[in-house]
Parts: sequence; structure tokens; C-alpha cells
Amino acid sequence: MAKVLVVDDATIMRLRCSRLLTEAGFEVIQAENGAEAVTLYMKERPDLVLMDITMPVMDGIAATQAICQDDPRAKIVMLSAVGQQWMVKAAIAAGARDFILKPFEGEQVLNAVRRHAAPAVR
Amino acid sequence: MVVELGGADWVLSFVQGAAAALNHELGAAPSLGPISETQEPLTSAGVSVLLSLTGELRGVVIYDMDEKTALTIAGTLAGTRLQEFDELAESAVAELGNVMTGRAGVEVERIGHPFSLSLPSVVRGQGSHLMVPETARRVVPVETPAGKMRILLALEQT
Repeated sequence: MAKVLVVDDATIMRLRCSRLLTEAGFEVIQAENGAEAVTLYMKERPDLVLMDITMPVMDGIAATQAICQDDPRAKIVMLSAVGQQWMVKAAIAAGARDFILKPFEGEQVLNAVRRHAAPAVR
Repeated sequence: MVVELGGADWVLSFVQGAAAALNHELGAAPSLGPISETQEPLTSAGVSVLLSLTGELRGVVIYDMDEKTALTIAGTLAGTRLQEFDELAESAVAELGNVMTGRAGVEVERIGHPFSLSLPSVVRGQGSHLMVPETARRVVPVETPAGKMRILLALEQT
């Protein structure tokens, strides 16, 4: 079972994503901001991260950079309401593999998670 | 004084983008009233979600609704009926404001006005005064299956 780290400052988004992924058979862990996500990633080494961008303490771009610096094979999919071109480019430059714009369809998230979350050979 | 106006291109794009996100989250198309401009003080219907914008559009956007509407919207997003306006309900309406403004940003960027947005904040209290910048204040009434809301745009093009 693949382990997914859901990172979002909004309780409602963590709830919705966790429910969606758990019902689809994934193990889910959660973080409320980028700094917490970096710490949890180092400890848990999830197969994939679903990362919001606009968050307090540390935003999703900085967290993605920090995680990818530690683990260049990290699989991070951005899940953000901010879908302007400059932000998408910044996310990809930071190391994100995919970008999903909120509001999202559940299938869209599950497809991205299934596509990217195959356990990596480390 | 409330004056109806057609609205600048970015106003229409903003409202259409926000409405598209609302449609997606509530599962039904909202009905948009005419865009108007007002100089009157703005007071809250009960629950207001505020976001600050910087960039080529600068100022504040507010999504304002009564508590019953906010609870219905929050329940729709949470997938369960909510009885009180708790932390989950607050998170839900804040996130709705976030995705409405984010989608508006995509539409407005297409016509050349990119902006950045702040984290949303939620203010509660029917009749409370909403402090906004001294810019043109545009108001858009919106009817949704969950109830009525207003989109308040206190934004200027830089």
C-alpha cells in the first residue's frame, strides 16, 4: 500500500483528500504546513506528497525545494488554488512532478497519485 | 448610492472565474446579479472571507454570506451536515474563498493581469463593518443552491 503525505493548511482539504485516498486504499499521513511536511517527509519517507502552495510558516514551493534537495527522487504533486503560469513554473522548477488546480475532481487526484506513487527503488 | 456598471474586462473575468469554482464546489451553476459600484460602507451578512491581492490587481476581495448559507456550503464541501460554525466550517468557507479567488486569478491572468493572493481569513459577526481600501468597490450578488452571497471587489489595476 502506497503512503501519501497530504500537506494543506486547510482542515477541510486534509479531510477531503484523506477520505478520497483512504477509500481508494492508500495510507495517508498529514501535515499542516511546509515546515511540518519537510520534517514528516524525512521521518516517514512517503511514496508521494500532495502539496498545497499557499500556507503559513513555510509555503509549498519552499517545502518542495527542501524535500527534493534531500531526496531528488521525491514524488511531489502540487494541489493548489493558485494556478497562474508563473506559479506552475515555480512549482515545476522546485521539483514538482505534476500540478493539479483546485477545485479538483477526485478522479483527477487519484489518477495522478496512481501514476506517480509506484514505490521507487532506493 | 449604488450604480450599475458593465465592469472592466478584468472584473468580468474575475467574477466568471470565481463563479466557475463555486459551480464546481457546489455542483450547480450560481446565478450572478448585475455588477454594481458602491460608495456605501460595507457590512457583513454574518460570515465574510477576506483575501488580499497584490500584483497587477491590488486590494481586497470579500465573499460575504449569512451564517446559514456558510454552514450549508461548509456541509457540502465536508460531505456532511454541519450543525454549528466550528473550525471545520470556518476552514471550508475559507477554502472556498481561496479556490474562487485562485480560479479568478487564472482567468484574469489570461487577459494580462496576474496577481498573488494572501491566505484567506474569516470574519464573523452580522452587521460588522468591513474595512476595505478606498478604491472602487464593486459588488456582485450571487445566488447559489446553498443561499445568497455577495462578491465584494475593492481592487485597483496597477
